[in-house]
Amino acid sequence: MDFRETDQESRFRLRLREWLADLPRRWHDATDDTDDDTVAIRFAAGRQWHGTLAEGGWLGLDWPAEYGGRGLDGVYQIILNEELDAIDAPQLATWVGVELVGPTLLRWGSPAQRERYLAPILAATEVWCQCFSEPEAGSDLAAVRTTATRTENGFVLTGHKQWTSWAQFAQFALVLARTGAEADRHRALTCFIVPMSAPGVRIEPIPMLYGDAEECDVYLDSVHVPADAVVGEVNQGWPVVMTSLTLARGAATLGRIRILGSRYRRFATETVVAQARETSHDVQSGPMALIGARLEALRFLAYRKVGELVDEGAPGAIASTEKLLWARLSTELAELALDNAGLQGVTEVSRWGGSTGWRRQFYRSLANEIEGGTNEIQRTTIARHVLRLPC
Amino acid sequence: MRFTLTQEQIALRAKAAESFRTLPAPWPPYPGDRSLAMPPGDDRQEAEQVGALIDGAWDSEPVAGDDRLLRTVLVAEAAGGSFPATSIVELIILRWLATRSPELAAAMTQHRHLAAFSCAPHAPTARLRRAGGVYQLSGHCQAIRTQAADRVLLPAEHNGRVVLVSARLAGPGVVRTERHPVAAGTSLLRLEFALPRLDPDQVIPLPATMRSLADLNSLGRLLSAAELVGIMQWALDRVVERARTRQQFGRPIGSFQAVAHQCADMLCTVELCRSLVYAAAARHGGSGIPDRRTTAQAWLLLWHDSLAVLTTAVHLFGANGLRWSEPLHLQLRRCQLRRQLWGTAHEVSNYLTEGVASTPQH
Repeated sequence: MDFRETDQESRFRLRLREWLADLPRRWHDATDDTDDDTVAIRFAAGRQWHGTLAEGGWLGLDWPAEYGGRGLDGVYQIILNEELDAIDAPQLATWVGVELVGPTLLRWGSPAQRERYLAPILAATEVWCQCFSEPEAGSDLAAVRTTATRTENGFVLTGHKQWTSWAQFAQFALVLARTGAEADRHRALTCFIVPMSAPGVRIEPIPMLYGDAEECDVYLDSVHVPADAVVGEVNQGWPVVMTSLTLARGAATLGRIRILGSRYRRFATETVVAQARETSHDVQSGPMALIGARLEALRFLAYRKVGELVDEGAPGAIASTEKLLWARLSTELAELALDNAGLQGVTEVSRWGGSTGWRRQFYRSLANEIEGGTNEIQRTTIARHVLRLPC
Repeated sequence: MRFTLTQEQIALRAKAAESFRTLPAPWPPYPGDRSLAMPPGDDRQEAEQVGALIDGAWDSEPVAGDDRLLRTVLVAEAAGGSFPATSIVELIILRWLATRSPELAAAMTQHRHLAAFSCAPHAPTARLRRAGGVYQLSGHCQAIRTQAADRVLLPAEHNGRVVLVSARLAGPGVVRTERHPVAAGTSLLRLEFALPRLDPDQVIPLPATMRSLADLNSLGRLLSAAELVGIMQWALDRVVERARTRQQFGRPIGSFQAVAHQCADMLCTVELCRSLVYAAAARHGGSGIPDRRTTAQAWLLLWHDSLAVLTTAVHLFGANGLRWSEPLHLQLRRCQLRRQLWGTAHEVSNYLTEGVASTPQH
């Protein structure tokens, strides 16, 4: 473990810092997503930020140069996140494409698919979503029921996908569908690229307890896709999906830890201001300092995880712990901050009627403990595969 | 930059673990059987082995980013996962001081010392005055005693400065009380100094490279945090082994989700704490002193989380976990002691929440 930068790493950091300093600061701050913005406004802002970063060449750092990347390892992603943290930059709303779908296509996509889709993903000119979960297939993703029936020149997809993030803004989806018997479970699944504008695709945003709708129901009613829409091989969709889910536990997590750090600093600022005005409940320094310590520890745990990925080419045991820790910490912070905000915190609403401030963050954190693998699934994965318990 | 241990560092930690006992020997006596007092252990061989592992690391001047502090932390972590005869943190502190001060090195060569820094880490609780050409010591100190010693090294205030005093453990003007067993073979020694006379060579200035006691405090906190990581890992390993082998209802208890999930949570906590301890050890700016803020965070995290890991481990062992003959409770006591040293959660929290609102400088 050595935090000294190589010359190349230092030069990268310096160039990035100079580039960021030259930007006109018109983006939303990282914590601005709790107030008056609708989902559409937040998404547009996030997409614009994505485009800005992409124009500067600061995305897809680990992608091959032929597809617009720089072929750099995960350490550079760490440097990028640290510099974005220093200016409180927002998260990419389009991160599914650049951090999940893009690398999945690099691993499993055909040359034609890579040629067609990767550049627009990187440039944010095309937005992607992932249609995996269904009403009866959440934690048990292998129970997917959406069917893909072979036709003369492709496949017909029929089914109901649920909890698809940002589907209402996406041009394309990576869809997991069944191409064999249900009894064969994960061995009879195939991944497809589906245009969201295709006839038969219907998207309905799901209103959530925090008052807006990032997640959607996606109905596929006899949607035709060509044969070359298959990613990987027919009935080999499970390893494709696992690649994406594993990536979600890789360097992609640096961004969400960074955003959590921004929220913590915001909470600390609010507390200091409120205490100066004597309008705050008495936030004890103990819980606040402890959350700060946990956050810093989580950041370095994520760095170790990236380090394992760089050293060994695959996530190690630590990778399984990060999502669980992050989800719990996001709830702890929101709970503490909401307590501090007192009666105003639990009654305040935004102009558009949804929850705002820490109340929204608290409700959103409840979702963090479910999506991307529930806390219980994470614990079982750790127990079974890391600790090798017979559960 | 690198965020994982090298093979050499991993090997060092494993080698350090081999230097220590895997179980206490002799086993601490059950309080219901006989006197609580235990003769101090003979740790000379162990001290030599630890010295061989860490002394060379501090021979030359530290350079920013070198791994001497990390290697020392790995030794402390290994100590947490075993049952060393001596208190490794205090041993390392004394050796670290000796490398920075020829006078201290000479004093430690002539006498075996306890280190009395951890129980009052900020301001000395002893005062030194000079009257008629003679040094006199007043006040008190506390020290962890695990091995035979005839001197204690403590900080004392003298004319507005902090100096180090090598004081006798017994003799005229020294009142001594001892509480034991705090943990296996460990006792807490309190010394009250009623103006015993000190020889000039018993008063030693702070090493020139040490800015203040705060430096020593940071080092002590980090090493304690590392030892607690080792203790937690030891507990986790024992629990996982138990969960795999202990059968109830016709299957291993680890096959029950309730048990498996608690084990998973323990792993998450251990890795989280380990990450921050290693980061604090890697972050020294060339002085060999760990970054004060990161170290304080590591200490606070371990203060908060270590006890829960140990009590969960005891719980998962069922009734057998409560037996005196089961080493778990010894590690629990060790954890309880270690987390009360080098500061209080209140003071550390207050320090950390100062200036927390500013944008981070990476």
